[in-house]
Amino acid sequence: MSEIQWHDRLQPAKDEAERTRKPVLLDFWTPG
Amino acid sequence: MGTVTYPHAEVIEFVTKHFAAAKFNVKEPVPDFKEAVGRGKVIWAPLFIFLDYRGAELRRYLGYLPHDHFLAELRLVLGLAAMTHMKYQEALEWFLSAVEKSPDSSAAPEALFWAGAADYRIGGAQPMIARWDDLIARYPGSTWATRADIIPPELRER
Repeated sequence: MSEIQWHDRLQPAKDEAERTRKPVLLDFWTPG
Repeated sequence: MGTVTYPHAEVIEFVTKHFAAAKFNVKEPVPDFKEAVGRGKVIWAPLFIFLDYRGAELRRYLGYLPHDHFLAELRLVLGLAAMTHMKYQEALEWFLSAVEKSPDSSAAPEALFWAGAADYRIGGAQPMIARWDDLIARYPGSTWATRADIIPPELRER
């Protein structure tokens, strides 16, 4: 894996979390 | 984070293995942005919010961290997730790993505090007191040592 695979929406991240029982990491960032 | 912390090989491996991750540009909010933020607001960035797999918020914190401090935060979050689901031994192991692998991180004293909480769930007051004594000795200036320094003498074994 060469980089972190980020979702760009909440629901797909929640779906992955529910399927895998992993916690969700949400990063709110600003450019620059 | 995007130029220094996230490209670090250990961070990539750890996040990939243990988290479902999503990124939101605060300047270009997507339709479920408000739901992702929850009841708070993004008044500074970067802001990190962690949820358990059922969507319950575990933790939020603010600001850039280098890779070893960030990994300590992630281990602390995994411990909190385990505590939430009453997996206290697993929680204890995550909290202790945050301390031992990143003893100088900002998360380390908090992780040691939570290790005491996990100890309490596993074995009662005495293991918690021993852990919190260790916290007070190792991180005497931290707010977590202050919070742990509440044990009345009558609770201590003679």
